[in-house]
Amino acid sequence: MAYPTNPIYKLMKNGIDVTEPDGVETMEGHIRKVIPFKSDNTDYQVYLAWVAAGNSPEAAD
Amino acid sequence: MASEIRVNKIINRSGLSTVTFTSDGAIVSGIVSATVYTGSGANLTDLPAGNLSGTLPAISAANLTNVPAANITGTLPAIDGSNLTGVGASFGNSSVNTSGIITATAFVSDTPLSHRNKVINGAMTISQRDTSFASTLSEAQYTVDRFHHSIRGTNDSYYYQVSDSPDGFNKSMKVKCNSTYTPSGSDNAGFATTLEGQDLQDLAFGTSSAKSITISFYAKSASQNNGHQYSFQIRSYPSGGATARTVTNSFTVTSSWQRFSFTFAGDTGADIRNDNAAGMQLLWWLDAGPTDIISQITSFTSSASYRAVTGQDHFLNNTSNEFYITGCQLEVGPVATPFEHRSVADELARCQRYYFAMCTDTYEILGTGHQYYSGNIFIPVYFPTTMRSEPTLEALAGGSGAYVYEKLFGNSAQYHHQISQETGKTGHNQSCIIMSGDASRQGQTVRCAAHSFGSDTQRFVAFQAEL
Repeated sequence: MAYPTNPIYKLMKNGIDVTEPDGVETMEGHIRKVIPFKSDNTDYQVYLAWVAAGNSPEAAD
Repeated sequence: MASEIRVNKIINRSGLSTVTFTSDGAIVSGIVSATVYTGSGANLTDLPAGNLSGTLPAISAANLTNVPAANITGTLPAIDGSNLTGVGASFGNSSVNTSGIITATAFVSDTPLSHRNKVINGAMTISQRDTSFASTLSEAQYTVDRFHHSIRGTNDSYYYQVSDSPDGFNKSMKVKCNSTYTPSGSDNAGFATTLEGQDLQDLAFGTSSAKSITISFYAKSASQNNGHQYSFQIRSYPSGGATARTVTNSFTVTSSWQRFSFTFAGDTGADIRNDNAAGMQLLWWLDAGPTDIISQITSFTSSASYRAVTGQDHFLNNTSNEFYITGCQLEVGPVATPFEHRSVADELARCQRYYFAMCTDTYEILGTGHQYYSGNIFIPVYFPTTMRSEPTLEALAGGSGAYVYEKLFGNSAQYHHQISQETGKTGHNQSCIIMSGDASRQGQTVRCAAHSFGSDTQRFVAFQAEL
């Protein structure tokens, strides 16, 4: 799995029987952040703001 | 020889006064005067008040009743007050101060006697991420637990958990200016802690019963910035996404520890959102641009802006500037009570609702995983406390081929450079870590652990659900 660099987010659909992306990953230095699509998760809110600014994440594997 | 006159009435010459003798005494109709009166006065009654004058004799006042309160003046003697009753109302709004012991059948307070402090980790005792944050931080990046960097413009400040603290504390958070910067416009630089709205509903904001709140904290500076004035701001967040409400105050630090406290009247104009999102933010501004520096905002006012107070000094003007803080307490009521110390265990549990450092050293166990047929290992993880939101997994990741994580099938160790989590099945209480496995081992259990990565002080795996 390639690290998301630019775009900085990459969609994820890992797990059992997962067919649609249900999270995103991003790197902060050496830290891999795996962010669930949950509305009260502040990392997800930052991601949504990033998308709302006109950006698009890398597609999931 | 004795003689006597027996009469029943004597009348004087003018006929205006008489002495009448009855069977048991004499009745005088005029004025009686004499040099001395003897005998008991027990039956003297109906003495006019105007005729009672002069100095009272030193007699007992045991039967004095109905003495008007206004007539009790002067200094109370040093008497035993053990029989004072019904004094509650008479204390009014006054304070009672004593160096002795107060006992009572019950104490009824308008403010909480415990769990007073709304601030989590106010004594800076918990720092799960690290104890040194000596790199350029981004907006809202957390440092000591529950306290995060805040920046608009440039704020190159480093943070440390240190032992320098006032008496009764053992930790503080140190902020150090790492590189100078002159803020402009709406720049501001400082740090903050954020509280959940559902934990603030007892403030009754948005009602006529809104309660006043008091913030207190201990702070000091380095000698370089001794005498600097900095600002404190509260932002509360109403329901429905309405504009934030704000108040501010200023404080002047010296190179010695001081306790600061500010009381703000409750906000009757807007409520606080009642959910697990940010309900109130406490901000300490060490620097600000000219646009954001205005007069103190003494009562909650709608404002989307970050604000500092007129007279604000500039922390970022010298790399020798330092700011230390501990003992942060936000409580209901108009008085700063002594800091509510909590045990490390209690404070850590509160912090883990927002950040849980699960695996902090080499060879620490991630858990026992199950090799699924797809080739992935699924490792269930249970959080020590219910987290605020379904958390983000933060896990160290090395370059491809790095031995950051380890899995053991029997005696066979294999290594991976990264892990993930099953985001769709992450909850407030548990998650499922994913590690690449070996499809040929499907159905087997496997021991999974951290292995090695640079410095041992790195946190390998954590879950974060911060505000």
